[in-house]
Amino acid sequence: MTATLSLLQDHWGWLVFAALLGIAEVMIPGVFLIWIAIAAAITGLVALALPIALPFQFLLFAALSIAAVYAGRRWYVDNPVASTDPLLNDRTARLIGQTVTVVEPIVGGEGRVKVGDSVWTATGADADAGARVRVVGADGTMLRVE
Amino acid sequence: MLTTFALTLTGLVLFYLAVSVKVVRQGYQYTIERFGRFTEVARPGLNFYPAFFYAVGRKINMMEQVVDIPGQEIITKDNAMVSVDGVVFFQVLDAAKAAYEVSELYVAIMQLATTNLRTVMGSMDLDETLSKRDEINARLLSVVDHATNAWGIKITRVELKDIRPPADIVNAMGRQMKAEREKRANILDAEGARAAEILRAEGEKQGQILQAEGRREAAFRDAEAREREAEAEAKATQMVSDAISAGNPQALNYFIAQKYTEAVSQFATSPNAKTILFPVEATQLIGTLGGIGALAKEALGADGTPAPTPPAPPRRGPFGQSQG
Repeated sequence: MTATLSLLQDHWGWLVFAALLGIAEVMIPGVFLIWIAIAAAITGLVALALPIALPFQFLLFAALSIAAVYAGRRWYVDNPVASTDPLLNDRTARLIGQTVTVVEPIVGGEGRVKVGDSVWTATGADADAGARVRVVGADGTMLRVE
Repeated sequence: MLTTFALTLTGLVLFYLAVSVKVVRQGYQYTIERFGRFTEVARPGLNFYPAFFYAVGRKINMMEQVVDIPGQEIITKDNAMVSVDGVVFFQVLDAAKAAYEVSELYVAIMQLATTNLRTVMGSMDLDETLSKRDEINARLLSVVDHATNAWGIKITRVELKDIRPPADIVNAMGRQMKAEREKRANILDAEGARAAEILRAEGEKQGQILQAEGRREAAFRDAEAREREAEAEAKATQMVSDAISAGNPQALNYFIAQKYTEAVSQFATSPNAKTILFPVEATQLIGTLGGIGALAKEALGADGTPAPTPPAPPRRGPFGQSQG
């Protein structure tokens, strides 16, 4: 503890800590450690520039961490991670625009349509079996067709 | 002391931040609860929900999944016991519904599929269950899909894996198939034999008809020939009798005598004839000779005019007719 604290006495300790966090971020997938690392690095730079007592360095680090994470979250919101396939795992969204065949006539706004080799419930204007309809949307597991 | 406090506080802050950041992996969605009440769904990517206020409720797998329908004994409509197992493919479309509308989603799907499998197969007899898998799959899909709509999941496929009737039934089915095939073979054999018999009989009939036709034709021709012969005979006789009535009847005697002597000479020249049978009365021959003599006399009459023929002695002619 004392050794660790003595390491953190000066700004180099913070910078080393920042580097270690950076490595950990790379090693551990999907963790936000990079923001904490940035906070640690800033703390180190501040400690280098201003002589701050150790406890205050810690408090500064904590405050900076919160700030960094919020900034990071903000940054994520502004720059969302673009997926190469945004419709992944969104089956109904994928079906929108497809033309499908009615297998059970749509009567009173409910029938069944054949999609691929499976059958989905569908809602829309009345249609006879065999009619070709287009998927325009989905409510849960029910496709809206027209 | 202040150092310790600062250190602890820093630790707390770091820990709080660590648990507030939720990274959702692709293929999953987390339901987020605020003080226990569902508020929203965390999508794949980095999400920040301050701890204590927000908590992750359920981690829902949004990929298509497979649930095994465990093997079970089902009694068909005709009271056969078959063991069946299958698989259900499904995908969660609405994470919130799948998380909160049903507890134990997998168990629920499995039980639903199981009970409906019993319903569907119980309404069919054994042969149907074995031959109409597609229909069973389709009916199951329809029923289970409707039932699970409320849970925000889509049943994409229901497939029976294995339908195993009991061993003795399988045995009987094998025997039945064998018998069926043997029956067909026997029928084909019999049909072949029948066709062959018919063809053979037809052939014989045809042959006989042709033969009969041949005989008839021959008979006709024979009759015709006989007719012609008789005609010719009659004509010849007519001509002879015409000649006789026109000329001297003695000419007839001449011819007969010539034939007689020719016949006798033939007997004489026969190489192996030790005995000569005379089937005719010698007297007749003599008589014939007498006839020749008379011819000679007539021819060599002294007065040069043919003498009137004396009446011949009564005798039997070669044709058995009385010649006067």
